[in-house]
Amino acid sequence: MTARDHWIDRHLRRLHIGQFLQRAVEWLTVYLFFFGTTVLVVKLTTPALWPHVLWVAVGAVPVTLLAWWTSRTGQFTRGESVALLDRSLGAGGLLMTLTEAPDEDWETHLPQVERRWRESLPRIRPKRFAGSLAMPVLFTIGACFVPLREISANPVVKNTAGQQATSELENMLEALEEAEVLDEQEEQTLRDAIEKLQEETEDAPLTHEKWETVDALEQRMRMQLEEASVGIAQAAQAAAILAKAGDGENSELSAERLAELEEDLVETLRKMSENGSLSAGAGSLSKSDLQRLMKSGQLRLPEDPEEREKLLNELSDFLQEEADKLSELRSECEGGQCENCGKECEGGQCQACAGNKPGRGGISRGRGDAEMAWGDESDETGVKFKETVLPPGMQEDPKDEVIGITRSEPEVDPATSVSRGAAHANDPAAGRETWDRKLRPRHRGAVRKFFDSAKGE
Amino acid sequence: MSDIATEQQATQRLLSPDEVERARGMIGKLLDGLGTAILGQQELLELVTICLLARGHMLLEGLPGLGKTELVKSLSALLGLGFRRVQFTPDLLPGDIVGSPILQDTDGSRKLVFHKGPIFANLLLADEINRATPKTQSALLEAMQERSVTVMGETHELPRPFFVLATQNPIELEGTYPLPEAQLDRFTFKINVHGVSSDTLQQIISKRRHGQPPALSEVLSHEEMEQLFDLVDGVHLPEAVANYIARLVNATHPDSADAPEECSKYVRYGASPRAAIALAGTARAAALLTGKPNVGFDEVRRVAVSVLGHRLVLDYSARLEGWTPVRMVERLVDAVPEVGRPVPQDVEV
Repeated sequence: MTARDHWIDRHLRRLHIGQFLQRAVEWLTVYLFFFGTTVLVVKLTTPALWPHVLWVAVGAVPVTLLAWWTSRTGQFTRGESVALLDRSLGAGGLLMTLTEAPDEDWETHLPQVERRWRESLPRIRPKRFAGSLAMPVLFTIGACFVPLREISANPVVKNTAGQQATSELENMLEALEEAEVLDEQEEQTLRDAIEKLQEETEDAPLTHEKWETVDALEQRMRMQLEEASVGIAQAAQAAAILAKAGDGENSELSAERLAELEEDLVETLRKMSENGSLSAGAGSLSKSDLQRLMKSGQLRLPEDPEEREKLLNELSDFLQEEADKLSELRSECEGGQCENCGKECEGGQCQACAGNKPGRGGISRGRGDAEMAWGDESDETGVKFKETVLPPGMQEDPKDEVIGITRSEPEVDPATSVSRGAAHANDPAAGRETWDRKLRPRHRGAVRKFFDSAKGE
Repeated sequence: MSDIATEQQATQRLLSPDEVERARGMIGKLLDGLGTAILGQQELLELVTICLLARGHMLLEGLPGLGKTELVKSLSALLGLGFRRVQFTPDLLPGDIVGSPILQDTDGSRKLVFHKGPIFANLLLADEINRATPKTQSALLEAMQERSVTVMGETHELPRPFFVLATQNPIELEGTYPLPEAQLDRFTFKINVHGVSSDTLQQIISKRRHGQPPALSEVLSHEEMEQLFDLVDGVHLPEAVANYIARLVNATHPDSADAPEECSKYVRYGASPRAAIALAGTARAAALLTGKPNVGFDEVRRVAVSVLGHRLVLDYSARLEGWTPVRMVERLVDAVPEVGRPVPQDVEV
């Protein structure tokens, strides 16, 4: 191998390196932007994949290999390298010639100083390579430092309003069952209705009919609770009055009134017995005492006044406790306070805010600040718009009125009175004069258009 | 391509430094002689010499009085070649140039005898060629390409070497007939003759009586001319330079992928393969002129404007935008890289 071949080989090798670097920049730029975007997408949408997504960075190795492989397909040939080296050396084609047709006489005409050959070699530009990759690398690094997106604490659940409404009803029914307010038939009816509502609202949106059903069921359970609560409270009062009245002889109340009170008491106890409220007895009274007391549907009070008074007082206390329990159930609020105004609850709702709670305003579902309950989207199928013929324009017909009077004949503008064709003929820029005019630079567009259209034909 | 190159390597040897030096000496004598006749036009003289060494025809375009005719006359004197001058006029007929058969009475019998026209010379000066009709201009087509003329079915060889040196005036175009593309393509060079500097004008005025150039004697014999032609043929054309010439000519075509944007937009018809042959031949001559045994990229660039300029047919819009053929060739030379593959940006060549 001659010294000339040695320099040509070095020249060719550097060109190949340059081609590889250029291809590597192209491929790596695309790859790094892809990698950075992937990291961003993972961090913002599926944080669970972080930091496993960093394994994608390993792909840079095959990408680099691919760049090397593709750079080989369009590599500089030796002849091209010689041509470039010839130019760099300023040999005027002699290097190319001697490579194709070696001649010792002319060999000495090539540069003999090694420094000139070295200076003619192409210089690798690592700064340019690094500069080209700086932007995608920064983008990728920036993407890695983007904070992970926090997953929403309240996942969106389909049809939340319907599920929540039926859940509240179910909780209320369970509370009534614990309080043993409902009889078996009523309880079964309510349970069936709530289950049916649950099924219907599972996939379908909560329509206004179902809202009505929810309200009706809630109202029904509240009424049952209120009725039971009031009944027991009255019975407790009746028992207390009966205890004070003694055997009836010294009482201020009439015999009919006492009989009514006894009847109310018995009726309440019967209902409580039917609901199972008295299955464990009533206070200090055992179940057998209560059965004896209500034998054949009438109140069998002991003959002894003291014993009678004691029994009725115990019964009154028991009933009062039951009434208090139900009253407490009616007035159940979160923490015993109204969630709207923070005041103490009174009754089933905070009385002060009962009328102000949004979303509880009846069929229209309340006022503007009520929580939105979304239903199905409506479509425009079958919707018809009525076509309306607009009234005629007001300026269509000129007004029949005098707009002015002149002393002489009105002056007529020839441009408006003469026909358009005639006006065009009188224009000095029309016809032959226009055709003969010298072509100016600003008219070149029109000329070009004319010739191009002629060419197209 | 590589097979051709290998074959070329096997058969062709490089000119020796002595041969190149001898050729340079002969060319130098010719240039010196021309320099005494035509003052201050060194570039023009070199281009004319290059065209002659490439055995090409030449079209000189310039204003009257710039020495076009004097240049051709000086050439014929220096080379000792047979010289004829034809002043082209609108009433000139083809027969006036190529010759015509004449009825002769010889020994009682009459027969048509061909009388040679002025074209039968080594150096034909076709003065103001664009004043003749296209019919007469076409009489030169066969002569310029085949170096022969055919009259009444008989083909007559022209003397060797044969050059047509035509002149034309770029102004006073009234009543002229622009040369057709086929005719233009046969001219190897079209050279625009420009005016000279004030110093040169002063020299002409002070040193020459009535502007007459000094009498010139022959500096190159016919044999030396033939030797020069052989040496020009022996100049090596590297494969990369041939590839450059091919890409350069190909880029003149508006449909070519190598064509720059301006060329695609303004050129209607590009250069022919004859242009590529002329480019290679004149580049060889240019290399020998500079004392090189081979053609380089610089020689191709040097002759590109003279070879390609008159072969490009520009669109009407080129005139509107101020593009001339010469400017277009200069743009092509700038746009077409010497090596067909772009140098990667990550290396600095």
